[in-house]
Amino acid sequence: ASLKAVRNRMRSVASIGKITKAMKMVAAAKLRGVQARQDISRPFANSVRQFFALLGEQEKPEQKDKMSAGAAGEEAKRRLIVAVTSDRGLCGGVNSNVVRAIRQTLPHDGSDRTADGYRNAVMLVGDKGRDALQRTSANLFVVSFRDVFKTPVSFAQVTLIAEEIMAGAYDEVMLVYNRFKSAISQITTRQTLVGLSDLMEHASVFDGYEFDSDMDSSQVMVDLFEYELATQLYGALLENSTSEQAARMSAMDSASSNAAEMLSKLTLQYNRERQAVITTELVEIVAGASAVEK
Amino acid sequence: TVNLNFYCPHVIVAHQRPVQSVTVPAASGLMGILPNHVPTVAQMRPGVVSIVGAEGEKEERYFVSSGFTFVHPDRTDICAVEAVRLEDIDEEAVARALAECESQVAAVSGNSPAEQERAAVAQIGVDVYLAMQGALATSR
Amino acid sequence: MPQYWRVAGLSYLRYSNLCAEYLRRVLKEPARAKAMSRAGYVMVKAEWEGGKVKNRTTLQSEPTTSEGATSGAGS
Repeated sequence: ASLKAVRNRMRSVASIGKITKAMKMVAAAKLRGVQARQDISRPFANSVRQFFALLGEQEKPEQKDKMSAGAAGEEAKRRLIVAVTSDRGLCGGVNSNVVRAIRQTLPHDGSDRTADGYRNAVMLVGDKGRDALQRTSANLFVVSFRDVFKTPVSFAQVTLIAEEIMAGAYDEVMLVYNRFKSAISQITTRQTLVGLSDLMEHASVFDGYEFDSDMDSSQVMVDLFEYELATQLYGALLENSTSEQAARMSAMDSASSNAAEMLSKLTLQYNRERQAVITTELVEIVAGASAVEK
Repeated sequence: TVNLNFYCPHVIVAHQRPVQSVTVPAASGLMGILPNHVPTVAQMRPGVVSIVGAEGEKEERYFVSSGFTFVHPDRTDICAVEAVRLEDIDEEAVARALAECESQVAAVSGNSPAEQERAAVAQIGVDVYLAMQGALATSR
Repeated sequence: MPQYWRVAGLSYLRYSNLCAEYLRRVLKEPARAKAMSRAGYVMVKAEWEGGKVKNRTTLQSEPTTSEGATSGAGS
């Protein structure tokens, strides 16, 4: 009976191995496609990002002192945290890293207020972040988007999400996603964008530039801010979907080699047990024969 | 030379390409960019970006939908939402689409917010297609 | 004076998308089909309040207008 059990395990391990191997191949093919798209889109997002780097805001460590936050009698500033995760699982630590980064940012008592004086809200892009953050932070959720990554991410699609962010008129927007570095390395990133009112307040950092528009330049700042939001969100979604495929590929790769390893162990065990059964039978036959001889 | 980058979300038209000059459809009018241009942020309206490459090379013309151009001291970045070669535009389709948008503008009645929005949406189409017709007319 | 589309309640992004969409529509083939295919999407937006989904909306690209929204009651 135990021999049969081992056989059954061998069979199921072998088929799991086949599945993970197939998933790895699919992820590898998808990675090639999404990485090619990302190579093309990255300069576009970076270019806008470099201009706004004049504000000294990009990828700052969290809890940088805000010049005006927390001043006496002033209302707390509002921050939107955008959790970018995948819709599907089995992709290594990509989603849990984003979730962890957000849990570290938010207070543990479930309140919306962080030590840096911000009141926080959460937007979910991708389904996996919802499952993981719902238990601790569901009360902070404002909007979630699902099936974002079903089709290749398009700029038109991203602008709808960006419009939703704009509607909230937040003082700061923090994008949390995985930046794709290579097939084996993805870096969990918190990218902060200064909200429109602070941007207006600090518009003097752009004084080295002339603004060309057919309106006054405060209007062009509004347009530029919207453009920044959409381009950075577009960049973040592409970075994360590339990271997702890369992480899935390596997760499935190690799952496949685990399955192969397990299968060889089980084979060994099976052979040993089969040998034991034969030996026992032989011993019985020999013992029986010698009993008859006597 | 001008160090030109010309990017869209889905395509790279030019990357660190040295060119003699480039003209972009800035909101206030066509803006020519030559070496040592003053640093500028230009909002683009629907119109033509023309690139003059090396000496003796034919001028390249692209139609951009919208976006921004950043003239930095060391480079010029054109970041457009869509950019297509002028040759890829179907002139007859433009005429049809323009007529359709114009009739939509004309069909708007009343001042309700929904009607105003519809009028604006159609008017944007009129603007885009008029700019295209102008660009195609001068390229013949 | 703000732009007419801003006065009518459109954001810059909406304006920008409309410009892009009008442009894609009048391209010659095969540029047109290629441009159209990369602009397509279907996704579901959910609005939350007090830890619960209050409203769900399907957002999808449509060939004619920029925003296709079919509203459904929250579950």
